Amino acid sequence: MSSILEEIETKIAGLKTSTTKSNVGVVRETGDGVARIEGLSDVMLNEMIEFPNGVFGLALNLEETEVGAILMGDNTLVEEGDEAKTTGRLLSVPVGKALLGRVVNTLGQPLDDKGPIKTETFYPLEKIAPGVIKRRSVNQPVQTGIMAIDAMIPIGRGQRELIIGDRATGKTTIAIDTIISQAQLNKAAEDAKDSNYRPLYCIYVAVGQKNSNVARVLNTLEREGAMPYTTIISAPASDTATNQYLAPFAGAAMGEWFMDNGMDALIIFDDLSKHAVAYRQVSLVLKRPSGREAYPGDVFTCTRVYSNEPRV
Amino acid sequence: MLRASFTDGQLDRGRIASVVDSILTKKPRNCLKILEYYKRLLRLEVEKRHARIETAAALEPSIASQISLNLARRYGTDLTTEFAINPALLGGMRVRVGSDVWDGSVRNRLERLQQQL
Repeated sequence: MSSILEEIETKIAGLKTSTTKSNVGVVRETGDGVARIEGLSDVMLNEMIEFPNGVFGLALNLEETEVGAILMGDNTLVEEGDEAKTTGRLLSVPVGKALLGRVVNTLGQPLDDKGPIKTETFYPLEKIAPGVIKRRSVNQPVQTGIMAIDAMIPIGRGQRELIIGDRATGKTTIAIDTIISQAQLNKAAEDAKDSNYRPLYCIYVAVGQKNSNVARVLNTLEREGAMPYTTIISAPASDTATNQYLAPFAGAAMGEWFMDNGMDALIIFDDLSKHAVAYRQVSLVLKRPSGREAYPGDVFTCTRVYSNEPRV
Repeated sequence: MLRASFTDGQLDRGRIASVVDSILTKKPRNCLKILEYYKRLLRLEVEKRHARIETAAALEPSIASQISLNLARRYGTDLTTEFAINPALLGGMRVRVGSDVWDGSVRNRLERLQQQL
């Protein structure tokens, strides 16, 4: 009994609670998922900002006297006059094999009632991409399972491929078929105990879709037994623009973990035009100058999301 | 305008008055908005040089003057100080200068303990 007490006492002694220095600002304006904060003189671009009630924001606009931040979580909890604090951290998501078979939101929180995600590793949403020297040339195909594609326009691991077309022409179907095909190949290699085969894990990022569509995709994948190799990141149309904007970055971060650990992953962004629309909404509310069709001038920098995923 | 309001790195009342006078006499377009923005910039400048010291209970004058002296040593002699009593801190002290905050209050420590546990 006394040993337990001693243990608790040493733990309490280990908790340091000295005076802290922090950099704070005052919320001057909030609405539409965006807050404008006065002060915060030491804030860095893309740094997390802590608001009261456990709401976090991301500093996107650094101006002379103000900081524009997008809010994550319930933005009705942030009010004018609230104090905002810098954290010195970048937004990170949980990564690792624990995410396979799960449906998560942009922040990596589970949406599928299968309990908490047990992982120790977190990756920042934005990382410096591997350089040209590190990138390996494409030398292994991704079998989509669709003969017309595999025969005429094969896709390789370490490559990116745009699927373009009118609505309801089967773009998502190609992606889902590929995931199922990969799952079958992975399973076959596992059953044959083929140690040379590098399994291809799949990450499906649903941006701005209807929840019913995501549920249908999930059902299809579960029925075909593809979920053990797949992660679904869902930022549906009912989610905030912030979450829809960040979801592809979260998917890329989860893919980067596989890349860094010598594994292969297939990331499907469905679809990136919704991502651009979410970014446009955020940019317009932040009063950034707009260009054609009111998209911000730097909307093309969003392409970094899929340019940064080579095979190394 | 803001740059013209300083002498030797400190805000100068006379210069501010002359800047405002010249705008009022010249009356450029949107002069009210210009003045409002100028006022806001001045307020931010004043806040940068103003320390607000919050404590749970009233401080003894000797301790208060010691704190003011120490802050002035750190931030320069033109720092103004303001003392306030905030029982919500429970104990300890919270000093805010510009957007820097030193928080040694019991409330902050309890909140951080809560986060760590």
